[in-house]
Amino acid sequence: MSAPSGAGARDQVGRMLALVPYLNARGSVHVDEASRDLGVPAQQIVQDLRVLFLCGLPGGYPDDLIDVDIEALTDADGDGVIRMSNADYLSRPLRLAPTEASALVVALRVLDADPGLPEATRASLHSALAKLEGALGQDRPRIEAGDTDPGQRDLDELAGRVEDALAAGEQLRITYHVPARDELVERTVDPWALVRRGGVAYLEAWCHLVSDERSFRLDRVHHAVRLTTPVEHRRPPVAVPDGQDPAGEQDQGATPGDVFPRADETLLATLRLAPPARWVPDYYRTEAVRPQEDGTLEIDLRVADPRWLERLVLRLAPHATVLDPTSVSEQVTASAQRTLRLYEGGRVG
Amino acid sequence: MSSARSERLMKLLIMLLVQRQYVGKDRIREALYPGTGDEAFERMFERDKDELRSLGVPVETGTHDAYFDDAQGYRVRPDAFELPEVVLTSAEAAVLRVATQVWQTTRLADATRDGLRKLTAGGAPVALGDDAASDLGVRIPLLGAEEPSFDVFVEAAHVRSEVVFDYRGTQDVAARRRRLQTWGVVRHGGRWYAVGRDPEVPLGPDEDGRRVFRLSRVVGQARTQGRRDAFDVPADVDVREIARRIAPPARSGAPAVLLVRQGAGFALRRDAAEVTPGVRGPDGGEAWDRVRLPWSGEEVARTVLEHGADVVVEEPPALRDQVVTALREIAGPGETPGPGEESR
Repeated sequence: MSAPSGAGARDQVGRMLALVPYLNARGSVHVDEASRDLGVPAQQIVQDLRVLFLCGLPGGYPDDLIDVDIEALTDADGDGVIRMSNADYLSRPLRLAPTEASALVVALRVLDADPGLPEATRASLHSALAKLEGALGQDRPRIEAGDTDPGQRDLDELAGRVEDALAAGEQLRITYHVPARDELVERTVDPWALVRRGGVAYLEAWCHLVSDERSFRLDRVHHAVRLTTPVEHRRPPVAVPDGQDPAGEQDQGATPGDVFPRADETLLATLRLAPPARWVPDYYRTEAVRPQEDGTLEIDLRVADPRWLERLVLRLAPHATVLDPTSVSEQVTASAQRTLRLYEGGRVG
Repeated sequence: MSSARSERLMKLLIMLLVQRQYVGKDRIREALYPGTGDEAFERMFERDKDELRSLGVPVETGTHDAYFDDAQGYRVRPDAFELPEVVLTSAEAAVLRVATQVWQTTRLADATRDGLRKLTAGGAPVALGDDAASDLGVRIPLLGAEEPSFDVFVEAAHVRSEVVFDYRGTQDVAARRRRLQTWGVVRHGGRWYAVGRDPEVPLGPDEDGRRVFRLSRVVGQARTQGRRDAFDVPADVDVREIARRIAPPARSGAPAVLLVRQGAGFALRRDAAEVTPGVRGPDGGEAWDRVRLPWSGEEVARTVLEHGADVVVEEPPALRDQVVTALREIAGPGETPGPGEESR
């Protein structure tokens, strides 16, 4: 092996600590079967056995060493069966390391969160999880993948349908929501790829409604129906420069599914954020963040659509103020007054 | 060569495992490190012990000699070393096998396989290397982490070492060096966060040093520093609970009844339990729908506000008050009716 030290030796010892009890429990086993059971290439198993052959009880007498019939594995006329003896003290595998236990338990919980899991499989999953947790005992997993909320599950289900359409090379009819305009539009698309950026899934596709390529945020697709029609437009070989979201931050919401605006088409806005709204620069790409002495933040951000900004500020009410442009701040005030009149009218009426 | 090192590690493990008593350092040195100088031996032995511990081997330190308590020895207790019996049915084993495909980060994908290999070695019918066995007709959810420091924090949380990293928080102009005793790593909204204690914060009545860091804001490479088992995780800490606190459930509270202008409010309509179309709206017109939602938490309040004059809350009163109060604060002293009295 080329690894001079470190990881190579550690990994090999880890494998051997599973290989020895595995062989102890079975007496003799063909190297291919061991390879299949343990998920270790046969060649690697033979290499590991060559090292084990040199190990044993302290004392150094031949009787103290682990006995392996190496010739059966390496000679041209060998039968390929591993026979090992003299390693009774390693009859059980090493217990699971905390990271291994966490990784397994969390993976099972994530599988369990899928509402589409067949009931029989779920029952096996639960009993396996209970047995594992019984054996691992003491420690809670240190990783928490979060409760998968129903919205996330819908999204997973949607992603599955998109993947199926991609695999089949078929068109999709999607109902797409653009929050900045609060509009819901049905579009027929030729799906090209499902990609994830900054924790958000996007469908990249050719959109027949606008006869151009578009990127759709999956969580804004309210419905998707697979059509049996094959796709008409394939992705051009050159990657689409999407000019969006290089930092992996969330997009502003107005743009995917629309034209990606060029920088000179956008508006530079300045907001003041009170502490409850300080998360905003975490989620939206900002040009500048200026902490103020009173605990507020002043941020500059580029906005493709003033309506998006108006909605954001209303959403954050009363913790965000538009300092610039004043046209947007006037819009926000007018919208709040209009809305309040509906409440007052409602009370009277 | 690495096989010589593997051999020495294996022999060391076996030596410590088969002895009932602590094995003295001198005996270990004589048997496994012959011909090494004092310094070289110490260095090699320390590294070997660390390596075994990093595999999860419980190497204990102690002394068995009542008269010479400085004669330090080492042992591995079989009951602490050995995997307890886990008898799995083939159906259970098949699900576990599928679990190996969930993690998309190398470290945790490997950890899942390594863990499962131990169960196989202990007798579970898993067949890790049999790709055909993986198809249970289950759509496998993929769990990944784009944050480069994810593995470092996960590992540190499990071996309880301190992590050092540069972090640019929301209010930081430049990245700052931080330290964290990581209790756990939690996901919320597709992002991973490290939860733990900042060891530089002195404990006080109102301050326990509890901190949450968003991993995507870690700048450069995070690394562990110092020894393993460097801290204890407080007994009352449950990372699931902390994850829930980071993410207060959006879907809570009493059911909401909203008036939504037709052709608008799609984000709210999507979650509706019931929609009654064509009802009289607050403006006296008929182009409104009554939308019932099963909940009315903070997220609903925010979404209602975002929709401005397209959505009006009927129920519950708490939601209505929250929305009206927020609107009054931003509407300014304009020509709207004054706050309170005349409308109630």
